[in-house]
Amino acid sequence: MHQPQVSRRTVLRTGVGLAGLSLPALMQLRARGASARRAKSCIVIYLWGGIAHQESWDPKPEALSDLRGEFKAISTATPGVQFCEHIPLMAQHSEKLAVIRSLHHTAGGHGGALYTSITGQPSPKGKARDRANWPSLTSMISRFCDADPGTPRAIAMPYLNYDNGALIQGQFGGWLGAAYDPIMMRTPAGKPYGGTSRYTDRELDLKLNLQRDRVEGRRSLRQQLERKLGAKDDFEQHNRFREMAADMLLSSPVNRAYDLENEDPRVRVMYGDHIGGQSMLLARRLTEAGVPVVQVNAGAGDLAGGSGDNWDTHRDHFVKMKKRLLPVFDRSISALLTDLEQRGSLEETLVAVITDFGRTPKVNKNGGRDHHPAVYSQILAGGGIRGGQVYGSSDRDGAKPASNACSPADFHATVLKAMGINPRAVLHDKDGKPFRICSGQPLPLF
Amino acid sequence: MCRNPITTAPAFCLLLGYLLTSGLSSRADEVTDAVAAIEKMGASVRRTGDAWEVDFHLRGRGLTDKGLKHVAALENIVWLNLRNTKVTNAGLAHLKRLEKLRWLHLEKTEIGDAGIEHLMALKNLEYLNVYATKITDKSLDRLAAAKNLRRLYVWQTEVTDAGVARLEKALPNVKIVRGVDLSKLASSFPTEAETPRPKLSLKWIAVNNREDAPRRSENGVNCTIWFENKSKRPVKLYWIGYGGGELKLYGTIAPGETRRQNSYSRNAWLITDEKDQPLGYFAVEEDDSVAVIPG
Repeated sequence: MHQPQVSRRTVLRTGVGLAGLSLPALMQLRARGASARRAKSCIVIYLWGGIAHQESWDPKPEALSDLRGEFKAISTATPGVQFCEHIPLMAQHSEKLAVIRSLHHTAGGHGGALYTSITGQPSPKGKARDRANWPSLTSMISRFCDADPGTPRAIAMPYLNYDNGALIQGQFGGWLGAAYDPIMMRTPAGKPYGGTSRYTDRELDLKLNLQRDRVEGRRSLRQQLERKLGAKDDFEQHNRFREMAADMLLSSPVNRAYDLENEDPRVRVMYGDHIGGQSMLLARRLTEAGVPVVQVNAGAGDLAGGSGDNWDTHRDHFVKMKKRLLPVFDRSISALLTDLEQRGSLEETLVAVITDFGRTPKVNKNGGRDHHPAVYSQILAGGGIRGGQVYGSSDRDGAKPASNACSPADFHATVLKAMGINPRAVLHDKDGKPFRICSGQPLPLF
Repeated sequence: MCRNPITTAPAFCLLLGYLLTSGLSSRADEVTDAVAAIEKMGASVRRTGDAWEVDFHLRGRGLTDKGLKHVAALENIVWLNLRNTKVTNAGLAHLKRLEKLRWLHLEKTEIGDAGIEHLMALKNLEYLNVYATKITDKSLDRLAAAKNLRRLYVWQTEVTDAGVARLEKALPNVKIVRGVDLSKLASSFPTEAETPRPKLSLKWIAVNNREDAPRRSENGVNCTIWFENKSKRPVKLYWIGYGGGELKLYGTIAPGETRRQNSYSRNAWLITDEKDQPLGYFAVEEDDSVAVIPG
């Protein structure tokens, strides 16, 4: 049987490539989205493991004493709004933030929760890279965005999210096709999170090898590009050449953006000498270079039993939050907000912070808080979102929504609207099956 | 054929329609030509309703003053991004035609006060980004006449506190973003070198203490252990693995030297002499600690 042969380079050049999106369809989508558009790019920050709402943007100083936790609430720059004492820098940026305190869903495990939070849909049983999966928010946004030739539409870094070695479903383009899988990039600098697992490390090594290829004149890279790509377009193969695509960016402004050595060292210091901070910095640089959407996974890539620097704090919650998690996060996201604003980019750049779920009001016997999807907080900044506001609330103990309960899908609809994308838009998968892209309603945050 | 008077009216309408549409289409041609000229210079052009958004900051950074003349031919531009292009003060004179302009990026260009003068005709300007340009307080004083201005970005320019204060007073609705002073910023953060020596000390478990000797590492929280070799000979540092307790060499610590080692709480470490003869153990506790290897 005849199998068509396509060289990798051809596929890369045609851009849309194997994913099968016709140009007229793309133009139509753009036209639909154009009118209300404010934000030109989006930075999605994913807090893997589930950040405690109580120890971040929804402190509960009035909660029962055994639920209250060890930290105090502090005032922010917005009168009447308090944050946890260990995000003092963010507290100074509250005038840029919309805090949503009434999110809730029903997925109690990380896999289902990540899927729900990042896709806005209930999680199906399936494989991490299954094409029947719903696209991640990052992928969905990129589907409606334009990028120059050689510039990826979506990038994710510094590593993918795993739970005990298992890659989590929902982080990819799903039925949009492989062309909308975010390109994974390793942030080229910064002290890594503690607790990155061997799975993650292997992934990092792969990226490091790619880096080495660059230095060595990219001969092997060219060979790999020229090698014929068989018709067997299985996912892994496709993915591998997408990684190659990441390396191809040498010729675009994205390459310059990727090299953090080009950044003012004082600005690098501002973000913190940690891969978390340097990833936020890289996200700013990449959006500046024309990448429409960048996802930063803030936290160690593998939960591995809740031991590393991730937000899954079943043990030693207060120690971990105070010493490792909140300082890195607070400094890096505050630097991002400062930097976007002083460059005049914040109004054109939407920053969306997403997490699995909140954490239980009750502190367990190991000094930890467990999974709590019944209520949790997320934040938005920039991109036409009105700052200095809180939407919804949780009850006294932070157990349930007390007002304006909303869903991950509503959060998505808000993000899409800010990006000028109609949340009710309908897309078709490669078999022509129609999907309404979002089931939520935009929140009144504009 | 068309003698019937009833049909003449529609015919006239058709003719009128033709004249109108041909007039429109010639205007449309002008617009199409202007868009084509702008795109040829590398800009991306987007239409939103009647208005246009034009970005040069990605592929169109070669834009010069001459090119700016062609840009101004597209009159309905509301959003223009000239970041990092080669435009100068003189070129900004072309922008006078863009009466609908609301959003203008001029950051990281060579422009200065003389260029701002040309913008005073832009009555609808709401957003002006001039960070990393040569503007001074002179520009701020002129901008006091820009009544619709809402956002002004002046980070890394020569404007002063006094100039900013004057403009804030003249235009209370303007948000003037000055950004952080990078020269003062670095000193406000603690550096790695200043990390204080942990207060917690780990217990030295001598090799003959069979009861307390840890057999394997358990998973825990990431932390840093300061191994301080107070003995008179070099020692070797082994990590005791999770499952079967296999050993992994992490390095040798010279006498008097301190090694800062990444670890996890509930991890176990073995100290040996240079010939791999076990000397003792440390079992990591909750947090960053000091582990003193005795003499």
